Amino acid sequence: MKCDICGEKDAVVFVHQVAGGRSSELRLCAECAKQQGLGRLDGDLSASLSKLIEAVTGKSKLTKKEGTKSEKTPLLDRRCSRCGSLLRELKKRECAGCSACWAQFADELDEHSHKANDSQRAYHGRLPAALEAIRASRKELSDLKVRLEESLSREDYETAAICRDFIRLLEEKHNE
Amino acid sequence: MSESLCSDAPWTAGGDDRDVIVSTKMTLVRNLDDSLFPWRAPPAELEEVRRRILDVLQTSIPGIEVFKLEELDTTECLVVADRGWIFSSFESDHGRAVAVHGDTVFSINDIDHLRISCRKGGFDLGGALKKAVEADRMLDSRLKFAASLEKGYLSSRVEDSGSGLSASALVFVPAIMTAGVFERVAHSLLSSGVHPKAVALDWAQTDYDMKSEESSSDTDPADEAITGKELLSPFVTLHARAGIESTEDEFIAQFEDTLKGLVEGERRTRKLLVSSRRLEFEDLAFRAAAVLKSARLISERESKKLLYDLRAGIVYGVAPESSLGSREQELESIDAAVEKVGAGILKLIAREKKQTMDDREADALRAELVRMTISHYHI
Repeated sequence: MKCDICGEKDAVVFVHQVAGGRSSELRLCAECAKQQGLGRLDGDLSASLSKLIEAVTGKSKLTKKEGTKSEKTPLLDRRCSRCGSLLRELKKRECAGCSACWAQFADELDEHSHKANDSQRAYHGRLPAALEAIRASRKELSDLKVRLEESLSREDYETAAICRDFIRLLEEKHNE
Repeated sequence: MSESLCSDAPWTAGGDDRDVIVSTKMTLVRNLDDSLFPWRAPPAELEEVRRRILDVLQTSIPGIEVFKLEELDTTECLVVADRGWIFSSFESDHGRAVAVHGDTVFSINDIDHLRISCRKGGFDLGGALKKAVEADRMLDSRLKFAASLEKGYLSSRVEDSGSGLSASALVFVPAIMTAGVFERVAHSLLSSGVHPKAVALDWAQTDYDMKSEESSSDTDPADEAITGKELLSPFVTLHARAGIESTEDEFIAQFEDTLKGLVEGERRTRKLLVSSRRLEFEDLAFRAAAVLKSARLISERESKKLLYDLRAGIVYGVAPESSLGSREQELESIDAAVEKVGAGILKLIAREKKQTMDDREADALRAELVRMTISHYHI
């Protein structure tokens, strides 16, 4: 995922706000996070976070500090990389322009269905066959990890070894 | 002439609980992963999307009928709209098409790249969903749909994402309307996530949309639609959309429960009303049958009002005697007639008879069709 401010570097800092039943998320690269004052865990942190949260809710604009090469990219003026639709327009229409809009702006588009709990947000219904297979595989991996932990806690190392081997196989398959 | 356009719609026959639930429909929304959604795509891309989808449909479903919207004349467009085969206006027909196979309709480049709908007569949500899902699975094996693990099937409108599933039912609730409790029923439906849409008789083509209680308006949504001044037809469309959190089975179970509640409520209210106003309902039904059997000129609005009164008489058990075998057959014949008296289908029938038609001729043809439809009543 790319940084929401510069749109260039990979995001490593994730700010997630839950307030009034609504949830918002902001993704930042290390440089932008530092520039926004998130490098220090002191009193300045809450001030920086407040400013960030205002930007997430669209009440003010976040821009890169002066001296950087990137242009100012207010959140709502960001464009879909495939169809070129402005996020501002998409939110106004309550529409996506293509599947890439969903990939890039899922949380901004669908903010009304945000839940505090990730498991409540997850989609559990039917999917195309190819995605269904991926979801099944991920669930199998997740179940195996749980069984591994349980086996270890019971000191059942034989079962744990079997689980570990299956987990490795599945993870190799995913990486392919 | 196209069979799908001229013949009785499949949902006008069959199904359980037809006295209240006239038809039930399930719709699945799908988009191709590698193309822009219809409102954003240029005409050339829409044509390509249509070509790809029709290619799969025509090679996989023998006998499917295809209607490209730019090739339809005004009359055929009216029929397509009357039948509910499209979801948005005809303003732009670039790359749009409708493909019909029995009770399953595929709308192409209408809000989304593809909408698969199946409409069944009576109370048959499970049957409608089964057909829609079969078509969806067949298409999934040959086209790549836009979807994600987190959001499910991706749609043009945000609210349609997830399973992409929506359900609707056409219900006949004369007792609830007559008793004046529709507003209360509507509020209850809205709280279950079901949106009722009633049609005013005074403005035959006007839909009253009950806005969701989630709307930003401070006014009571029922007040915006029903003021008590308009006379509403006893036919109401109920619509619900599956949220991202619910599976298809959960959604259908909830919608079915809502419909069952409505069926019980309507039948209970009918019993109460008939016990005190039997003669009034019988009078309405007999008058309706008499006019419909003998009129030589009849407008769309009048014919629909009288057909509704006759249908109400059937469900109240006070209609004239009929030579048809059962109450269900009587209801089916009325429902088929209600479909036929619409302007679009009437003009198609006239064209089939090689007639051109002005309003007076339309009224005459309508009267003839209605007389044929209810000739089985003994008055």
